[in-house]
Amino acid sequence: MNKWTKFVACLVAALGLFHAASVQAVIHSGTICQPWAGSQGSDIWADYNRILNNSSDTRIVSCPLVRTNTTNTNGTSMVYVRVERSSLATQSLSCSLYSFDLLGGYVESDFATYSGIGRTSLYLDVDSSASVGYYGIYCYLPEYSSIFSIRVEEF
Amino acid sequence: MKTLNRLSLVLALGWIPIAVYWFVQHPDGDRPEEPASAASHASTTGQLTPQVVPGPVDPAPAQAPPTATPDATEDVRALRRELDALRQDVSRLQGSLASIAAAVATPVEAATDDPWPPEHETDAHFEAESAARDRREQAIENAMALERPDPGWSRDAREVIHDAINSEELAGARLLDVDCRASICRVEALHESPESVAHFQHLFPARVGELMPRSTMRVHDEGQGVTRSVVYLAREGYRLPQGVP
Repeated sequence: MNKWTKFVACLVAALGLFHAASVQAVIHSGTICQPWAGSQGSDIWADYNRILNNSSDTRIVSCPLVRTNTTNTNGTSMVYVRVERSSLATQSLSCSLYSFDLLGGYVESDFATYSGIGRTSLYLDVDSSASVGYYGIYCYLPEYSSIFSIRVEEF
Repeated sequence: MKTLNRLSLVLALGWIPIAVYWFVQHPDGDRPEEPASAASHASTTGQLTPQVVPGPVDPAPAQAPPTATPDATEDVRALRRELDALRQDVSRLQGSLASIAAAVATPVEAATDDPWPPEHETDAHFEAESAARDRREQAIENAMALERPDPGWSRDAREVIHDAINSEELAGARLLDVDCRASICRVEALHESPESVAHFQHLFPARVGELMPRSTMRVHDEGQGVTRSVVYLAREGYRLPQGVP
């Protein structure tokens, strides 16, 4: 390993440590998600510490997120939604991260989608947030698909 | 001269009956006893005196027989020690009471110092938030003004937006205007009810998210229950301008 390789490796390690020190992370179980419509409650199961759409149609779920840094206005560092799209699904699995002000006013949103089969992570982040506002996630969950967890990284 | 001698003799002899009378009345030459004499007597026998213990003195010890004097001295010393100990106990208790009173008083004082309403519930806070949103909206408008439409992408984006707003899911929204440039689209829609606004806010971004994942929105009250929303959407791979803080 020559000196430049060592220098780059040290730089990357230092940046990684700086990032880890400056970001606050909270991980939620997928079971925090709730059906968008109460009438669809029986289709959404909270089994095995995940949320599952156990119906043959797409369902929307709403997931509240705990905000640790309550006053920053530059949004989130990154939000990871760990999901599984069933092989029986006919539509894509998509999620939107929303940033609201404290009275529910829309500030910003980001969207990600997955059309493959199996497990993956959707990456979302918003660049703007309101001081003492809040975050939420909405997902279009195709048939027999799941959300396992949501990791929220804040500045 | 004879007269003067007689007078001198009468004056000299005249004192004799007076002296006899006084002698008969006070045969021992005693005087009435003063209270201080009792006190001085007690002090010489080791009894409590007013100088040692304030307050009324029990006359009984002063009348105790001489054989009790040594025990009484020990008692006084023991009582003094006990008194000193009690004084120390009282002092400690006063200190404890003071600290308890201070601890109880502290939260009340802190609570009264908290501003009400909290900073994040004041009009100033809401005005600052609104001003920040205005600055961002202006920054996005400025960026759009510098862009020219991307013919292919702009057309696709407009189609996706029209399809979304005309969908059954967003039936409560009426499209007013669409303007798509190279990386940003601006959408204006009208809503007849608060429910329609909330539905649009939560579902429209997802309906157009594949082509334009990032969005921000402002809502304007047009009066008589009508609301106008302005949505800015960023092309995939682009971010919306933030504006000057």
